[in-house]
Amino acid sequence: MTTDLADNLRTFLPAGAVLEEPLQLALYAYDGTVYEGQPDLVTLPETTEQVMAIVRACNAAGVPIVPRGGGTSLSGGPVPVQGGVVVSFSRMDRVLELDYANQRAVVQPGVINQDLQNLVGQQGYFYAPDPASQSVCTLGGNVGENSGGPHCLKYGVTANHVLGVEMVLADGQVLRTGGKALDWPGYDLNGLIVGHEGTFGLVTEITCRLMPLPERVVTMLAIFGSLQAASQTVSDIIAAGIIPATLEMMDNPMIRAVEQALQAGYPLDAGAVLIIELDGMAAGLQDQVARVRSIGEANGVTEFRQACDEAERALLWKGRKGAFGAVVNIAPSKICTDISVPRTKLPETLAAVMDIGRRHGVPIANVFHAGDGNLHPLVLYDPRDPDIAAKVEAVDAEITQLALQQGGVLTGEHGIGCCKRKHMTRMFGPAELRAMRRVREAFDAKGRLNPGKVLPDDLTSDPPPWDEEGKKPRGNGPSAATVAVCERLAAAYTEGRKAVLRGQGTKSSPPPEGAEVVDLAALDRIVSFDHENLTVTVEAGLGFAALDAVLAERGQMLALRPRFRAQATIGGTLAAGESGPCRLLYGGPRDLVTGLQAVLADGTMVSFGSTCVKNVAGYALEKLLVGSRGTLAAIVEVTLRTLPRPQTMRTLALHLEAPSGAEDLLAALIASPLRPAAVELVHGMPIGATADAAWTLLVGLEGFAAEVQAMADHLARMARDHHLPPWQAVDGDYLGLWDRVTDLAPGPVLKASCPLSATAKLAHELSGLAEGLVLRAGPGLGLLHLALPPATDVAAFQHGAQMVAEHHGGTTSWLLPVPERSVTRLPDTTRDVVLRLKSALDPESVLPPPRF
Amino acid sequence: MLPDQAFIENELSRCNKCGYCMQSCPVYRAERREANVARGRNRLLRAVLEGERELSREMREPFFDCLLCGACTNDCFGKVRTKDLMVRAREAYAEDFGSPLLRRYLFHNLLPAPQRLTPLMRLASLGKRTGLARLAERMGLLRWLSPNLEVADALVPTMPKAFLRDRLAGMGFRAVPHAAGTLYRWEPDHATGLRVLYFIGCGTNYQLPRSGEAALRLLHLGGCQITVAPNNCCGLPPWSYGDTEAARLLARRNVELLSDLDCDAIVTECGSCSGFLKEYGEVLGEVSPDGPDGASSAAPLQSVARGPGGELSSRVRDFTEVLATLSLPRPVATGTPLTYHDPCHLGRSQGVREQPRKLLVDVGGYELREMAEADRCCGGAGSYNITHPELSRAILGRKLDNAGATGAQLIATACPACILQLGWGGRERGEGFTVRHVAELLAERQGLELGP
Repeated sequence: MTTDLADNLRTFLPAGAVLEEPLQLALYAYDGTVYEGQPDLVTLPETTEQVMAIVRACNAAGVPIVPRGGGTSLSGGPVPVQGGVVVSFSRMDRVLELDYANQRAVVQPGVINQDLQNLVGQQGYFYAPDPASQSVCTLGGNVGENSGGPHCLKYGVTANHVLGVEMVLADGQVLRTGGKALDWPGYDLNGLIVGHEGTFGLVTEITCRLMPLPERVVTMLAIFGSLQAASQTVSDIIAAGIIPATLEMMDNPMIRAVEQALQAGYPLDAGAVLIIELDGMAAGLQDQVARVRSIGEANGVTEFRQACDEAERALLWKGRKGAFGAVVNIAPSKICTDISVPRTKLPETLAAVMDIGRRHGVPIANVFHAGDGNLHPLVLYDPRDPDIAAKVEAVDAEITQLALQQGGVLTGEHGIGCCKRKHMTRMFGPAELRAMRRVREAFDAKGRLNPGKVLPDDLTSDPPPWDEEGKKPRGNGPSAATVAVCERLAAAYTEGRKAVLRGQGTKSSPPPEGAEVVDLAALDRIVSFDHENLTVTVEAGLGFAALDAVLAERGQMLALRPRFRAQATIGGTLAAGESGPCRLLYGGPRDLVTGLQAVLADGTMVSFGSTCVKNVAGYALEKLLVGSRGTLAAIVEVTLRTLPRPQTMRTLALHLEAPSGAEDLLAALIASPLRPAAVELVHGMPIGATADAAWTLLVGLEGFAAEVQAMADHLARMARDHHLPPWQAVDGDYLGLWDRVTDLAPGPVLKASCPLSATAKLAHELSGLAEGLVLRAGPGLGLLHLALPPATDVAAFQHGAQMVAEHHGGTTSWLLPVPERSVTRLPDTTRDVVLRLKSALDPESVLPPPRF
Repeated sequence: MLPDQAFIENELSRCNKCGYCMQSCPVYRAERREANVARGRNRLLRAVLEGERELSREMREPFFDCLLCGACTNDCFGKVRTKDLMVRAREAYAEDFGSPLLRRYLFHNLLPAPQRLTPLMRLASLGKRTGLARLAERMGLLRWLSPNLEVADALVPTMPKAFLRDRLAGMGFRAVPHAAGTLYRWEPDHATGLRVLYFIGCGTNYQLPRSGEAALRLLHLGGCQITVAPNNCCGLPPWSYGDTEAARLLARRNVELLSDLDCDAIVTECGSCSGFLKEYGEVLGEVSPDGPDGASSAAPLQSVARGPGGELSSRVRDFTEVLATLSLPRPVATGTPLTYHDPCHLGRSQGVREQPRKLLVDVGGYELREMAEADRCCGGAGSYNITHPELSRAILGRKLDNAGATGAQLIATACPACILQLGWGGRERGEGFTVRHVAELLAERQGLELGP
């Protein structure tokens, strides 16, 4: 059987790309964990076509397929626990395109993260996710595990930076999601696929976001007498509105190990060493450094060091970088565990972790990403100790359980793989696991892709964790209104009726006849607001204004400013996947949602995600539901990241005859290290003094006063350099102005998405398609929103717009409500996947069919 | 049965299979297979150690295609010394499956007997230069290691008429009788008081005598008293093939000969020889290979003086280390850009990186342009280019790409194996690279005349 398959594979794979000797196979049994499983064959393809052919051959032979990147996984991801054919992507390592004008890189999955960084770094760009293993891990592996890294506190994880994939599906077909443009019609497949752990398909190409390198980086090292003081400092820094690029902490056992090995100059009795790195505009940084320092002093910092040059910077990092090597002095081997808890629970969690180690007589040292609550207790052991395996396993299990008790998650960035699969039933109930399994089956009905990973075989093996032992009950359990939603959907489901979801109606289409209208507006509670953790949990029917008021009491805000913010509900906005111009700085809905609860079409409650900002436990169904337009489930409760309100907000405007006048300026602005909150070209809407100009370029600046001033100065220079008139300050209500720009005009809004550099051109061309069009175009996002004047032939307009957008490498779709005569077409494979997902979660089609 | 089991076990206990060894392993970067990187090699060795697997012929590739460059150890958190593990693995392999007779003859019968080796090399040199005596030509040093004549032929474009030892008298050395054989001594024109015992390596003597001559003339110019003894091969070639017995025999011979000779430093311009001489203490089993205190071996092992081998090791210096301490006139800048390649045994093993660079700039007047991955192995690795021509070529390709990207046409380095390899690559690609030993470049710039 295996020999036949090998012979078959050899007919289309390059010489030496099929390994079948037992000895060679043994070398693909492992990853970075202690788990092993022997594969039947190993393949080393070089092209997508070869991967397709491998999948077809394996299908014909009925054997499992296990994708593998660098094999550095710390969750057993690429371990072939049920045998099968390993597809190693190590030879698919070409960078296919570096498109700096559009800030995108297109790569094969075997490209090593660091190799991409090195390439784009020379041009002044970076790819934000930087897992510790970046010098050896592959981007394909990063996509599989949704990898994080020290920088993800500020810049987000892999899911926030992968904008498209090419994936060979279980049947050998190729699915393409996303691309150079940001938003594509359909569900958020990128969000769902990133973190799939090789169980949805074989990713063969990745489109990544590149970002301009910050102008300056300042590194600081602070030594504290206690872990509590250091943790408080971390919380205070973030609460002050400073989001460091990295916040890395070491505890006392680690400090002692590092000091012994490297003499980094740490006091042996120090409770914690904190490395803080700030990056951004040079002009604003010194101010923030001073604030960080005074926050540290307020918390009793015993020593504060600051690097002034590269050499000093390397010195401050020396201890942290040498930490993994230093623990060899304690014990030769280690496992690097991975849990995530709300940031405020760090000191308590660490104390309990050390307790677990002591109880089992296994040394533990900690170095962790303190900013996002992601811990990696290093469990140290000597593999020659015969009893050690059981002990280490027990310690790992207890640490995992601890995370859940602290309101955290099973894994923050390593993934579930085969290691934590058995713990899944502790975090998720049967309903969630069933939903995840159905989603997986939507991609891989026969379960051939990376079997034995992520989901346990028995979805109910553990006692339901909802009770006393740690698991969620957030707030006081589901409200009466939520229970009512469950009941009404369950009724519709059993009675075979249709149902539609409705909030304040800003996005609603008229319901079909006889449909149950499930009103979510009564779900208007703020469930909990953890201001120190910067998260808030609210019911879906809550309006933005009510939330704003509560957040403002703590000087915080929700950085989500969609159309019709004054009336829209938060749940409706998330379901619609809508955002406003400030997505440029703060990200969109799916970047802000950390967890949600939803009622499935059969009336079952499910809960995905958590209050942790870093979480890769299970499939990201929360990302699938965000933007699913009420076609998969009713979102009833969401947990969102909040942010400290910026000190200063300022709008600058430039009036233009045509967008072409600003194209060079925009290109320069986008390539610069400036991080404006919003940049929009506005047409058909009077703004500011010279209200009669056809076009206005608006820039919104938010942040510390010094930073905003520096950006304004920079913009002024840019305008001069490009021979443009000076910027005009737009006074008055900052948010009010931007809300007006976002609202555009009543009526249907067509959204166009395109590569960044085409935005202005596309805006100009689209503006000519109809009289009286009101539009805004964000060149930093490549998103355009066009409000159609009344009585426009919707279908004809979209036809034209789609042609123009496609010409520029973009596409169009509608904001909700989708007009009756929408002509949005999804590519065939995408449509298939969307429909399969729809029937996975709503098999009886109780909720409306997806339209875009 | 594996040799040095405790050592192997201790090293392997620190391998977590994290895979960081993939980042700069030149073989892995070329092949992208687990069998070609430390993690995989060590996993197999562990299988043999723990009896999970028998040592088999299939292990030849994973155990023998390692360059022994040591890059993986640098990147390893636990500093697992894979190259030393591979030497043991090769020893066990040779034990079970034997090694080619010619190679054994070279290691056991020729290298320890220069009086037999030198005439053979003369014959080879004659053959190479005249193109007449095919048989004689086949006696070339590298030929003994592999039957791959074509590559060996291309690698060694020519052989010198006069070996380095033949040139000593002409340079000003005087014979000094000694119990162990004739010594040659060259007194300085102006004494600085530094007395140097010069170690002539095989590659230098038979293949690149100009480099050796240049080094000797520079040391002399710098005021050193130089003594040359009839030393044997340092032992690195047999060691690399896992023939630790032959290597130890050579090491012991050298220790016996050189330990008695009074000097301030034992010096050679071959980075591989100086690197291996510095490991004599460990090679001869004086220093526990588990490290000085038997715990982790994160600390370097060099120059730990315990027995006579370690004592000798502690006196060994690379030529560039010594020259950097001497005062030589500073020539006017040449304006010629060059790039420097770190030989593995000099840069990584000995940590000598600054001195050759500084010398090239200060004493050579060159403009130094750093290439990317300057310390990445060139694929020469002793005779790797003959035993693994395809792999070696791929590794070399990346090296030459990096060198070429600097825009410099001149590559300086400090080890004969690297010079042969880089020179071959440059010729093969038809790119006008010139590859020279640091010593030669400096000697020229100091106006010293060298033989052909």
